[in-house]
Amino acid sequence: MRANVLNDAALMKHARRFAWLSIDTEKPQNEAFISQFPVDNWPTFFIIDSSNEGAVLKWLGTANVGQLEKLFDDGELAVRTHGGKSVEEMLAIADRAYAEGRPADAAKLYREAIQSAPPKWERRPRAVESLVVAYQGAHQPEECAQAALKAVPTLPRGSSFANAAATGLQCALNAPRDAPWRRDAIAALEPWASSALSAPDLLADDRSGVYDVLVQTAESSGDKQRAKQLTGEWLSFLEEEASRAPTPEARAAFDSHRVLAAFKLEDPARVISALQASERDLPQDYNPPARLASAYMRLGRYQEALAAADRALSKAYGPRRIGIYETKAAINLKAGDRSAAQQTLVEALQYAQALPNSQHRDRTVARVQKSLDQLRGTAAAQAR
Amino acid sequence: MRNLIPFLLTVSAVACSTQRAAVAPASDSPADSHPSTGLSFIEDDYPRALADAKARHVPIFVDAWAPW
Repeated sequence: MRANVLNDAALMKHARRFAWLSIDTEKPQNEAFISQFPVDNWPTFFIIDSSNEGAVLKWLGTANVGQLEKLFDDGELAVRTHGGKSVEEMLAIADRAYAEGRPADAAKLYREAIQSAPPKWERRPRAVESLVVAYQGAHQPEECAQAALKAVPTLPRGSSFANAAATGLQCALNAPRDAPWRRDAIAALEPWASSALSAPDLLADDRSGVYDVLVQTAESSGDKQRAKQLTGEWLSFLEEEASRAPTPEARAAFDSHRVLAAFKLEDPARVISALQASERDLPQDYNPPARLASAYMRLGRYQEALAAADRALSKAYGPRRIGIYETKAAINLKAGDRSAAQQTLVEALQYAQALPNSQHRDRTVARVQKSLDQLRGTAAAQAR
Repeated sequence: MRNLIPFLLTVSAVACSTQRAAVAPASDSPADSHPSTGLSFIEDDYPRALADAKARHVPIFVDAWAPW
């Protein structure tokens, strides 16, 4: 988003409408903000009423320029709206409920707004998308999938269509495998998500997300050939998009999904040169060496993997640093150095214990401690 | 789908987000533009953004991101 959308000159005409704030959720200095406005998905956009510091709109994930402009309008309306019967006011009240961390209430309110709206309501695609996402956030997978299934066929082919179809499908995939409705919902939503791949005006990020959920669908059904074919298409798409990126930042924005797809294809070598280029062009960024460490590990190139992990650790901060320690410990183990793996996890534990709790300190500490205990237990058993 | 990135930090969690670019170097300027031509964002300073918003009687738009 920073490299591809928020820097779009077309947004400059809105500059006076808001105070613009960028929050790196990994930085300890932002703990107070994260405590007040929790973030569990990245990116998340908030619109905050500065008169009372209440969040009135919360949007998860990417958005294109057109979507952002509508969010600006909706956020301003939500600041002004505390009740009312117009469909726009109903939408604003639903947005406020979602922003306040009440997704189940928000889903009910979105549904009421959609039901009250005229058939050609301009905000309907966005409202449907928000309804599906709210159900997902409320951990109501059946309602999420069914809402998508009901509304998606009626939506114009665009970003909301794609996002609602894919989110509904993701909800069905994540439901318990023995849920009686799950299989039919997946079968019904999968074609809609597939058709979303050719929807116009879709951000590359969104299209990549659709590929991701379609690959998961094939994997879930045990169709390895389909999963491999889709993953190959996905990776080729990402490589093509990256080749057209106007800046190193925009190109590197595709790295994470390229890595994910390449690893699914069991072809980690395919991303090495891209990650090397990102590390060369973006020397302050810890992500390229962190990803290189994982890729080298999968290739059995352990010394290069350890060196890359150390380069990443020299730059990383926040919770992500723990993941890099864990990668390094995995490399230590694969290289046969159990003692070094233990030492790496001890360092990870010390770092995790110093995180602010808003950065998920407790569960991170528990996870690292568990890994360390398992490693020590295995070592003790081997010693006996 | 909207590219939602749940909080996952595991050994294999190398793919996090395609929508975020690299961490911008720290800046001494009062507000940093998002790369090149974009809006001017206050970086990591909520109190300052709040004061700015109150003074201008406008809401705050927040881009909460992580350098993944």
